[in-house]
Amino acid sequence: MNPLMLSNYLVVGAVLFALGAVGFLARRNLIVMFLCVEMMLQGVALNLTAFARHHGNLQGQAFVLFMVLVAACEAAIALALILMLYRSRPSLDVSEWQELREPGLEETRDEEPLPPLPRPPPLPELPPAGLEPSASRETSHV
Amino acid sequence: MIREPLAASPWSSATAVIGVAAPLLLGMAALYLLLPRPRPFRTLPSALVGLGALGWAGGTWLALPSGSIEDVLFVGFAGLAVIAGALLVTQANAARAALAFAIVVLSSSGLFLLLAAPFLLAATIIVYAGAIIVTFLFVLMLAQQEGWSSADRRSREPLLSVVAGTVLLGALLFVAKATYDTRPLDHLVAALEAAAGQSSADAIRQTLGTAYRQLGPRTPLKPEEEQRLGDDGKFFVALRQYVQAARGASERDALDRELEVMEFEWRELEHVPLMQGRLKELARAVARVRDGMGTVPLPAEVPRSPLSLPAPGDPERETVAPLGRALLTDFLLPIELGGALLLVATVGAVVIAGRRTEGAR
Repeated sequence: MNPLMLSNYLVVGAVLFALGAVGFLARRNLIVMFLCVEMMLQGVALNLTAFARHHGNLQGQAFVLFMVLVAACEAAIALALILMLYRSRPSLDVSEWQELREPGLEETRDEEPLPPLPRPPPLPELPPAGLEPSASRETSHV
Repeated sequence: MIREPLAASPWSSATAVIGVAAPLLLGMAALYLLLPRPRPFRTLPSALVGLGALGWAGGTWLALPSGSIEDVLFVGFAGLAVIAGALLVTQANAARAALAFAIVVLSSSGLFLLLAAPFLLAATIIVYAGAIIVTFLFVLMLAQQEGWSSADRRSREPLLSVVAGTVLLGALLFVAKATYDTRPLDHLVAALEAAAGQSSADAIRQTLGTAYRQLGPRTPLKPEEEQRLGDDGKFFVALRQYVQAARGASERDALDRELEVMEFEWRELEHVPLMQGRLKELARAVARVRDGMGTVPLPAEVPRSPLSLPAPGDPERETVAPLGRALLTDFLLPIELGGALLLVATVGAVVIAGRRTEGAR
């Protein structure tokens, strides 16, 4: 394979890896953080496969298979851990667990309040239809 | 004919560096604006900026010389993967983020197919899209909360993480481009082939001189070379500079010695078939160096069975069978260890998830 084509795949792999890294650092949902790590792994798998094609052997593809294997194990263990965490504190927010931070670091507080929930759409009103009941007229006269 | 006039290596001038760095900064700025926060910025303009940065990056970072159907498919799959990846990072709804991840996996499976790895395509789709995504969605729905949650609506240090991502991606791009940019060598190979096709000595010298004037030297020539040599002689000096700069190519040094001889012999060469033969030989040698750029030859003492090589003759057509043979010969022990790891992980997941803590519902 022409190295120019190889560098295209390397660029795409690098972009996926960097996007995953940003997501892992910035997001606070445990599961989204985990998905971001898996996306970084996808970028690496793309690199390995492109190199396997470039060198004309199968080592890279075999590495990717082992990576998928380890990623599956990792996902199973991590989801079990997330379930366990969720049982003791019912939230997927990592900041719930920030007392596990290094000693001497300040606690992060969320100062800005979350926006109010959007109001549910109003229930439909029934349009007036049919004959007007005569009872109301009688009561108005009384 | 020479395919296209060409500037020197894209890292040689400041404008080219800006052309690579500007889409990176623009895209990361759009990512910063799109990250979830309590008072979000307006989505549409930021998303448009991000898409524009993606298109710009595709124009400057990727090299798609031929415009064949393979290039079109590559651009499609790669663009889909990157857009879905950005959605995964910026989407506040976690279930939608999981579906965006499924799109990332599917489109990178398409890229695997373009790389002649159909078994990886099947394995990735089955394991990721089939198993992992479904489990993630199951946990997400189990842990669904009423209303907004801080987990989804807030980011942790969005500015710092975007800066870290920019530095990381910039470094990766720099290394990939500096190691694998073959455009100068492509140009030189095309010039050598074009010159070998000419029928008179003057036409050959003229073709090489034109190619030299289009590309220019990699580093300025010495003053005495500048005066002594014609444009065709300078072509060989420049060729030697570019070959020396090719990274990691194993045949580079032999070619370098050959070119050193050629620099001196070129002026005495007059016999046209001899010139053509030398030029054709050189074109082949430079093309070999170009195709080997960025490769590291395997040391001879690494034990490898011949079974793990692709079938001789057609490495393209048969890819699954050699992979199976390689896994069961060269990688037999890792495969067994992997099976054991899967078993241990299954038992461990059951033990961890099955444990009841105090006060559990």
